[in-house]
Amino acid sequence: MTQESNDICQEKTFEAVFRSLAPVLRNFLLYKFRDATRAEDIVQEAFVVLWEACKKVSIEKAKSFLFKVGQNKFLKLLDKDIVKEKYDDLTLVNVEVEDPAFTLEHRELSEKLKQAIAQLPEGQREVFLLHRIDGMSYKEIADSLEVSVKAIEKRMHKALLKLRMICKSL
Amino acid sequence: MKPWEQDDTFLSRWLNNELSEKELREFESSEEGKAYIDMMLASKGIGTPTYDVEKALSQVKSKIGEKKAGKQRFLPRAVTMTVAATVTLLAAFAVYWFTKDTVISTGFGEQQLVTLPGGSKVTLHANSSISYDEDDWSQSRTVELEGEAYFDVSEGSLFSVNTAVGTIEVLGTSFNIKSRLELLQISCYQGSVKLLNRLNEVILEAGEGVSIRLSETTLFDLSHETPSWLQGVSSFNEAPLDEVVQELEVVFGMRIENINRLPKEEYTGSFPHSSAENALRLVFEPFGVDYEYNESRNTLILK
Repeated sequence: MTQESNDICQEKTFEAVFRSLAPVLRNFLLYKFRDATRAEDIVQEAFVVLWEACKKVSIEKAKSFLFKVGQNKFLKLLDKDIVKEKYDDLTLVNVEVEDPAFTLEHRELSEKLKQAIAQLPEGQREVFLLHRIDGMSYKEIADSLEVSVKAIEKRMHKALLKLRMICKSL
Repeated sequence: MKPWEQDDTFLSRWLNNELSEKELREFESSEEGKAYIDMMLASKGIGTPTYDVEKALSQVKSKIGEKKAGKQRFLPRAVTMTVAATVTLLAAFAVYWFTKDTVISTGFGEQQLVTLPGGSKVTLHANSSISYDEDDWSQSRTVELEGEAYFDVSEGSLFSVNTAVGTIEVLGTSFNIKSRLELLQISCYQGSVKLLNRLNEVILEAGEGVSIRLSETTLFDLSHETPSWLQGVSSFNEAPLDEVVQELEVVFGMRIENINRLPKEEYTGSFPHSSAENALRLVFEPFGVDYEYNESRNTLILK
């Protein structure tokens, strides 16, 4: 029997799944919670749940499974009113940009954009950031959130309109 | 009114390079268009705080270790978790506690050779799984199969394979079973094989095969010494096209869009596992099926 396997119950496979999916799951939860520490706690809990359900979850389904478990935990905290709607809390940072077209003015605009992103409704914010920061395609986002591609395209369109509107007023 | 104000996916299509040339020119030369270009460029300067994946992984592993140590207490605590998580957990625990079956499965595009206790060998085709009870093996050589596998069974007591559609019983022999959706197909390469299900009791000798689709049973003769998929080729004889497309799906792991546009035809022929594009040509050209294959997304779109 070969050791190569697609079985998440295999420790090596589980580790590989963690390395490839934990960063994007953490970002997804960060966009929802606006709080990196809480997002990282939930990533851990979600992977513990994945490990316990490893016989039932195929590797192809792992991503939407983790997103769902993460979302459920988020909703539960919302019920308990632990997550407060505070716009200025979203933890986003500046990153270096190699593109020569990126000028000082763009850096200033990205400061405004950060504030504007924090004001987006949750659904639009997560789609916008998963696409822009995590480089996920509309199809990948749709599969992970288990909604249609069309719904993602609409949310993205609305997010851009809203960001433009907010940035103009800042 | 501008197109981006009335078309509710205009800006997402713009980001995805899906606008027509005319739309693109009109948009990007407008004031608003330029503002959006700047905004998207500015978004490149935004990121998330760094994340230490290795540290997080070791924390998860230690949490899992703690839970293992305290397994007795674990079940009651699970009850308080979210409904979805609880159901999944309980299912996993039920499998673990009550059967402790050994499960081996393959993903899309994979094959795996498995040696069972006693030396019988099973080659699993892509997207298939077998499970068996190792503790009970000396009493009963029984395997559950989902998908497709080639069995080379060493001589001994009765060996049975349970599938969704029926049970296959043998003594010592080699044979292939394909059990996917409503299809059950058995090919006997050596010795003899008995199939038992609700409707049939069929005995196959070496060189014979049987297909059961829904309740229709067809006997056929084999043309090879072993199944061709072991050599990386999938072969079909008068198989409905949707079975062929399903095989494309498991071999290449491709996503298929608009499956309902598939014509109701029967396919006789084969395709190699080495190239998805060649395989698609071999399957669809004879029927003039119009399709598009997006290699980077590994998606087949039927037109």
